[in-house]
Amino acid sequence: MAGLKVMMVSSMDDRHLPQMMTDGNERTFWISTGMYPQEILLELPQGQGGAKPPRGIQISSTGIRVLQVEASTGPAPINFERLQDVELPNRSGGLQTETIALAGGSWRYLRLRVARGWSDFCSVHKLLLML
Amino acid sequence: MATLLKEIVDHLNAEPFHMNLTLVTFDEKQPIELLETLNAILVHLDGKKHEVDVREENQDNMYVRMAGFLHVIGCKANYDEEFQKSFVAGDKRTLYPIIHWLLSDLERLRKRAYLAHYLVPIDVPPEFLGDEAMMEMYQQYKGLQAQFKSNHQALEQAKETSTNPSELRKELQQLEAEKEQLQQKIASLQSKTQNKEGFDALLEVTSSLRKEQEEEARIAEKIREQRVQLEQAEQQYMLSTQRLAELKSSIKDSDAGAETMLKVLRDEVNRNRENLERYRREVDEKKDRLHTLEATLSEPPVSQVMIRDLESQVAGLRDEIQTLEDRLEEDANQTDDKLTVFKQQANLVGKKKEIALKELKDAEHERSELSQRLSDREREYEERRGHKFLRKDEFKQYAAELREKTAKYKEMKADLNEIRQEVATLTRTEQILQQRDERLAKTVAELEAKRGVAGYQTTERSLEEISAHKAQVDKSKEVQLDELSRIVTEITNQLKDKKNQLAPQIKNLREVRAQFQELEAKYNEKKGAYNSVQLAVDSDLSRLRHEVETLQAECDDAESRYHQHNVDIQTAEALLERANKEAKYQRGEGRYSKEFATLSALLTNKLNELDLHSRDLRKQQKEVKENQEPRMKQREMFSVLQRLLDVKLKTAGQEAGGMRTTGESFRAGGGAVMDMAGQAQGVNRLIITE
Repeated sequence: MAGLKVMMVSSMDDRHLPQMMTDGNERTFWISTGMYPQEILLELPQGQGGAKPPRGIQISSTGIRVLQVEASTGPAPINFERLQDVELPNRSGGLQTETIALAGGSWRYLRLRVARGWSDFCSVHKLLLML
Repeated sequence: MATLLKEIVDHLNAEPFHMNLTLVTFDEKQPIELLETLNAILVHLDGKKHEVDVREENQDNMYVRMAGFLHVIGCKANYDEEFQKSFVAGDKRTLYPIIHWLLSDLERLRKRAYLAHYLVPIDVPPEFLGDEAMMEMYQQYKGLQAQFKSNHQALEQAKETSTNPSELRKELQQLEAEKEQLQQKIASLQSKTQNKEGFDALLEVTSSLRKEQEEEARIAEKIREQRVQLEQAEQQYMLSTQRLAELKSSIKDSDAGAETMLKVLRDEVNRNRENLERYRREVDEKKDRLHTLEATLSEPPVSQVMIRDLESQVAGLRDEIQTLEDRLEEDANQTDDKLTVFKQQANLVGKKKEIALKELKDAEHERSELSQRLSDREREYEERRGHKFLRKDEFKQYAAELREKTAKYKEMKADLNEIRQEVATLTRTEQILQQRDERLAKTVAELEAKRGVAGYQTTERSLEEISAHKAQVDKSKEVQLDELSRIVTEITNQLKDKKNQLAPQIKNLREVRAQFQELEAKYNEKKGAYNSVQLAVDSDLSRLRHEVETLQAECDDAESRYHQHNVDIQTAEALLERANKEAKYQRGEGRYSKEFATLSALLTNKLNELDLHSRDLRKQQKEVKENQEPRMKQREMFSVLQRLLDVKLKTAGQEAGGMRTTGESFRAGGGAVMDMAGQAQGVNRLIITE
């Protein structure tokens, strides 16, 4: 996805890399290695003055129950503000698609925190930035 | 099944049974009758053992006897329950095969039954074999069995080799009868010829004649035999000489003997293979023929009915043909007029043609006759006149030729005469010269003798000869030398040519070699550089890999710590929550539970309870500690008491036993007995009552 970069995830596995969330392919995915909370740290592309800020972010996932969205503006990924808590429905392992609106202006870093899940593991298949 | 039955009936009707059965009667036999027939067969096979009346015999015994016997002689059947049942019931399906098998091999089975009698091994259990007498008997038995076997085999062999004694006897009788007859004849002849004189001589001569005739016959036979053998030997000899000649010729012909021999052998092998093929084909053809003949033989005999059918078919077909032909004729007759006109014309023309042919033949015949006559007349004329009949022109030609020939003849004759004359003169001159030569040689010899150089002429002549010879030899040498020099020049020329051809190639080679050396140097340089670069790259790669591994390990470590911290946070939060709630309850803003306001209340309550409990327990402990000693003593005393009482009981019981016979009336309540026993024994007794 144009510019959306995954900076950190809290579960590493060689077969399911974090890049597979932003490669646009829903078949490739990132999966957690157990336990909650899990975190994904994203860096949003900075538009060169005049480009529109993103309206929201679309996420395709499985097994997530409570998703906490936090964002930060600063040059470093600290001082996050809680934007919203999203509750996702239980699809028993099926794909959950959700659009998270990003109100406000110049967010630079985005932190998605899976606080609770429907089962022991959760996975994220696609992250799409909507302009 | 039908063929089986048929065969069984055939066998039973022949000897030795002569039962006179037909298929139907045999099939209709009752089961018990079937068993009787089987019994009869078994009687024939083994005599005494089976002469039991089947009707009166117990069925099980019968089965055991028969099945045992069948098994011994080797009848193949599974002797199971079903078989037993069907056998005893006389079931056709089981008995027919058995009967058939028995009948088809009667003689052999008979012998087998007889042998089985003696050769079936007796099963002696080992415990009996331990006994010495038994062991001896057993060994004896085994020895006798072996002897029996050998004797039987010898007997069989003798039977085979020698002829039947009855046949021999018959022959003997015949020969004796003949001998008598011959004796009678001799006696009568003797009586007839006794008186005749000179008969002895005649008899001698005739007898010798007869003997010689016999000898002649024998010799003729031998001659025939030997002639046949000679022919065979000659054929073989011819074949082998042929082969030898072939081989020799092949060896002589070429230098590479082995190859030709191989070729010859290969040819032979091929020839043999072809022969083999031919024979195989012949064999196959003969086999086919045999098969067809067998097939025709094995076809079911053509019955009368079939023949009649075929004849009727033939007749029918013939009728058809007839009708078709009639129809054809009708059709032929009923065609249009045009066709008939044409047909008539055709017939006419045909007839005319025939006539013309006949005329032609007659004319030819006349012609041949006439020519024959002509030749005959000519021959007559020739004979008469001495030369052929000449016409005018021929005669003129003949005369001209004759003239020519005479002219030639005259010329040649003149030539011949001249030449003859010349020959005469030449011979004459030769003679004269020879004479002169002789005279000259004589004078030369005289001169030589005078001058003392004898034999000069001869030596001169030999010198001349030798020099001529030498000249010849020199010439041949020259020729050879020429040839040699020619060859040498040829060879040098060839060498030069080849060298010239090679020269440019060699130049190329040198150039290329130089190039190659340059390239090799460059290559080595580059290879060295490549190796060094590769080393550097490899070391970099390994270093990076190492780094990656350490970083990965760090990452994993960080991840696990993150989760650990999260979990710690959660537990800490829970504790904090609890503390906050407790504070709230303390302030009075809520209740912990129905019974207790705050958690601390609950806990203090619990503490108090536990204190009380511990105090109780301590009291108990003290009590137990104090009272332990006296209680132990009491316990001891009680145990001693019990022992005493036990002993007393025992003794009382023994006395009571002695008194029981007299005091049985006091059985009501064992205590009464005890009572009496107690009173009898003394004063200080414990009365035991129930």
